[in-house]
Amino acid sequence: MKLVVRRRFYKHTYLKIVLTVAAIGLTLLISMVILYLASNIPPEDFIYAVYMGLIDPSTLRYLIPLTLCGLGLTLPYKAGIWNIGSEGQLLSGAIIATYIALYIYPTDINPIIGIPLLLIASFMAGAATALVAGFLKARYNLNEILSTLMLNYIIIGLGNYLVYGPWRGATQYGYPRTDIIPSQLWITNIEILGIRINMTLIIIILASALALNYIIKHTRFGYDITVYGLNRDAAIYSGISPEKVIILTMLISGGLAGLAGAGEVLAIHRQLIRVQDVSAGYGYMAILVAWLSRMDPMATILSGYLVAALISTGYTLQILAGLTIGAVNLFIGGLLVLATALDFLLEYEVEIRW
Amino acid sequence: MVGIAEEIISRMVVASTPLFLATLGEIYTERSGVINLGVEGLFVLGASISFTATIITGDPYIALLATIVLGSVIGGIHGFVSTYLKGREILSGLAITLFAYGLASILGRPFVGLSLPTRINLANNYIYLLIINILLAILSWTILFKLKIGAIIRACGEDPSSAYVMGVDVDKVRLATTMLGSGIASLAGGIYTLGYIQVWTEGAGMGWGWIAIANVIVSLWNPILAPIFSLIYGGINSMIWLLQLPPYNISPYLLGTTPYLITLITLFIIVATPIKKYVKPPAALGIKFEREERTI
Amino acid sequence: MFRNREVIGLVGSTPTQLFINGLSKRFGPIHALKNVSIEFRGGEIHIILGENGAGKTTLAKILSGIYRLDEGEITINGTPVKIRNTKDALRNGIAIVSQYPKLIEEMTVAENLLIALDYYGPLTTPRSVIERAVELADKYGLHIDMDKYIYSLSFSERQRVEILKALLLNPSVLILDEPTTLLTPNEKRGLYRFIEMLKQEGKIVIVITHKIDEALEIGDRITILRDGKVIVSLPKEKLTKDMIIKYMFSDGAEENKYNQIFIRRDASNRNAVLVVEGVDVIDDYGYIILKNVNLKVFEGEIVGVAGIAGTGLKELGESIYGLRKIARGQIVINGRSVSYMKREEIANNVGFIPDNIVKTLVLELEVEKNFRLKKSLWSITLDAMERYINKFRIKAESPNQNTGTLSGGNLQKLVVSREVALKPKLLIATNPTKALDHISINVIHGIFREYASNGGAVLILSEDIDEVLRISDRIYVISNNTIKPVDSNKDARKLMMELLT
Ligand SMILES: Nc1ncnc2c1ncn2[C@@H]1O[C@H](COP(=O)(O)OP(=O)(O)OP(=O)(O)O)[C@@H](O)[C@H]1O
Ligand SMILES: [Mg+2]
Repeated sequence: MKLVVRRRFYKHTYLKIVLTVAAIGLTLLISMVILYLASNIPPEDFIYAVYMGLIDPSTLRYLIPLTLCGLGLTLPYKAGIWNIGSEGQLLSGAIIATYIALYIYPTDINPIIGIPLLLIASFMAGAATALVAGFLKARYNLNEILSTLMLNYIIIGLGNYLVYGPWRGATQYGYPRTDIIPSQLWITNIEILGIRINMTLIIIILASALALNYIIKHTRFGYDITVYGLNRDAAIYSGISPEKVIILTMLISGGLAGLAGAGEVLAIHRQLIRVQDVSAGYGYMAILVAWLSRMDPMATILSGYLVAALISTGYTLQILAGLTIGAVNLFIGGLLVLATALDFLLEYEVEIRW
Repeated sequence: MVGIAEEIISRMVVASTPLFLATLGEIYTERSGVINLGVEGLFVLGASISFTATIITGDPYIALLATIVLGSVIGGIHGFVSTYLKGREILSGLAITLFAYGLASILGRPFVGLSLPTRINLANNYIYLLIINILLAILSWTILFKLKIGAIIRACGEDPSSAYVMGVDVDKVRLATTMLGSGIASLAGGIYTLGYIQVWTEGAGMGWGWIAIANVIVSLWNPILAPIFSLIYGGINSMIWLLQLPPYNISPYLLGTTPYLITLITLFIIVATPIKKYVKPPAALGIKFEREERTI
Repeated sequence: MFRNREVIGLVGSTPTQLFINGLSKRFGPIHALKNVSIEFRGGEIHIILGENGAGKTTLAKILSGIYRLDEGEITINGTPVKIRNTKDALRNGIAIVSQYPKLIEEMTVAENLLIALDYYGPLTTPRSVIERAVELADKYGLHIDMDKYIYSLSFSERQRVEILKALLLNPSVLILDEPTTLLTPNEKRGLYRFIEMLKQEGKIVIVITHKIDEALEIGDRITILRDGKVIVSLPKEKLTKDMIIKYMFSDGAEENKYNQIFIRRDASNRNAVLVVEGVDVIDDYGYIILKNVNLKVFEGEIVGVAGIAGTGLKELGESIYGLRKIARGQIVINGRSVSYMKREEIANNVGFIPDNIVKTLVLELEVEKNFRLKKSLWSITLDAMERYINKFRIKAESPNQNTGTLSGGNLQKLVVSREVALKPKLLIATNPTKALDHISINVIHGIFREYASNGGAVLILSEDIDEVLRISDRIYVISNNTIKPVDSNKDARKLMMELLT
């Protein structure tokens, strides 16, 4: 047998889809085997959990933060800038939203002004967090992977310090969480066809996806990002400013993650709780969301749904088999590595000769 | 007073060892041109496996051996994807970290709260530990900068296409150093639980791998310099918790951020001061080797 | 540890035979080699001739294990061998000296040699290679300091290291890819002597070139490739220059690649577009590679700077274009100092053709997208773009074609056409016709002249003396780490050769 490997010069779209589906299938299969061997979970249960994950309405609940963060990551990842800090940027948004709602606003704040301002503030908080890393990279070429990671841990610590310390709510029986924010600031769900959907956030997601899609495909800035990501020499030679690409892509991605944080507080928890309960690693999972979509903002909504379904599956398994949510990482990581590996077939054609 | 000083030094040395080892492993990997963000997960996995394996087998050394093997195999996935399969190594590294987090959680869960049957007493032998670490640093430096094998590894990290023309199997070398670095990272995680914290809870060892990756930069990709920040970090990490107690009463959550803050500041100092002259990452770090790359 | 030395020694001692049979290689839609069969005999210097893009380098890279082959067989001394990678090739005694030295810059000469020599074990030190290397180097008059880092070596010193490496490898088949393009006449003679000696030892020497005179001078047998196919493979005696030209060029063109004659102009009474004053140019490692450079380019003229590769030509261009910091002096374009100009401003006002054009192209994107790379060309119409594509004879099916599928020469023309389309005040071109056949060279030279006639200022930085001589109104030469003007009215060619060597 002989393998003939050739580089591909055209990247077919259908292949991207086929390979993504294959990666998902393989991941589920491997996870099923591992969970059977390591934790004795029968394959039927596993399949049931996956099925539940796909149809469970709670999947929509995870879809929102995942897709927002994932959308944000499309820009920097297209530029080859590895923002791994969505988690921290999301939390910054959550912290600021809570802070303003509880400590700045008058208790009878009008939601028509109050909610948009909260969203803007949390966008800015997420953006500011990302910009710390963006600035360090643009100015000092400090590795953004490390700085965004370090910032994640710093903000996690800060958030927990607040809920365990100065912000611990007077009405919370000593639990580590803040008081509830005024009810008129809640972003509520509405029921459509029996499914409760958070229309406000869904609209924000759709609008962001459309806007990002437009930026990437139809603007000079989107083109700059693409060139910078594909060939930095070409970008610099043609006068594209790396600083501008770094700063703006980080700003937008941090901002969207910040919005996701506000969404978690205003639509789900209505208070700031321990940060590990605000985000079960959505910021990290969003990396997979962005990657599965191949940084196509419209496709990000679909990949956001798929990853959300994986989280739901994880929670179902948790109930069925007493696993911790940590096990979800197994799927996420497995899927990410397989998707990366299968990319080989996108870049190369392999011919088997006997 | 002597007692306290010794106590402090001993803690510092013990706490620095896992970081030092993980850094050393990643230096080999990065010198060959591969970034392995899986180090973080493999450290956590090592922390979990070594603990469970010690409880199962009763022998910490067998457990550490198993840890090394499993770590290098799982790290090998990353190595394979980022060499032979030309995948994006940032993503595959992160993926390995998430995967290893998951695996650590699943494998360790039945053993939460159990205690180790035998212990590796590092604290009392800290002098030897320190000497071993320094010897390891010198040995690694010799390997990397004085021997042919090191020249081959560095060639893959500096200029893989020239190395390939000279007959070096670049992907093989890179896979090997990635597996080596991964095995060492897991071992470091094992030493972290068995020798330092001596219990296992979900999430044990999280964050250390990232610090190790940062420490590779701080050490300027040179094994000789790897112990320095490791010791500083080890000292801070083992000591900072004392500030929770009166009269300081600082929140443990705030204290928990200091290691990261210090690492970030250290990185900043490295890149924003004249030290930056010496920051010379391998020229082909993170760049996949494609033998049919188009030159024109 | 010495296993391979024996193998190599054995293969080297008797005349070798190397057959390749039915070799094919394709890069996407480009068929670089089509069913190529050649017989190489020991004790012969075998020349592979062909115009640009004929597939010569591809053949060399397949033989030396750098490229994978799609189809075909390779037989050495009657036994079929599998060459899956460079190690296989080296084990079978095949070594290559690439057109540009392939050495690891961050390491010393000794370390480079050590890596390349399989018979030294992994735990040996660079010391162990030095004794043998120095002995050989002395024997062949190659003077190299073994402890120097490659980055501190000049281009010809690097070439010497490559040759020393080949000597140490003691291969039975040595492939030299365009070995002389970048050498001075002196170094060329040294290389010929070396090749001759290998031939005497019964080895196969494969020399790749597109210089017909060189082929006839040193070759014993000549194989001509065209469009990836073998046209003829005959002993030198059976070929004449005219025949070779006919075989090499599909369109039966004449040998003189510079067949248009240009007349020199005097533009010194016009405005200076580029003024370079007392500039020290630095290389990638912070060393000063050119000292005290003074140079002016006026409106409506072409200024040519000739230099040998590795002596600062590329760095000079990059400094003027603002990609490189300068140690001293100042560079003024249209009255504005480059150090105060933003990168975007420079990019959109200065046309720049770098030495390595792949650095200015995004091969993954369409031709059209690559044309729009600079902001001032962002909204150029497709019609205008197609006019340029036709004018430059770029072989692209449509502006939507994937750039990665163009051949090297067409990529070069794409970059040149784009920079001309920018209508810049100043056009800097580094080796603008390096990868081109004679017709394209004529087209591009004509366009440069036309451009200057319309008031543009053109600076040509070239390793090709003839190119500089032919199209420049004024000439400079890089010599002794600085640039010197050459009086183009005297025997410029002779003066240039003297200064260069
Ligand atoms: N790695 C590669 N990827 C894509 N195309 C390639 C690659 N290498 C060569 N080609 C293409 O294959 C064809 C043959 O190229 P090759 O380099 O062998 O020509 P050549 O005869 O050496 O020409 P030259 O005289 O310009 O060096 C060209 O069209 C070239 O663009
Ligand atoms: Mg060639």
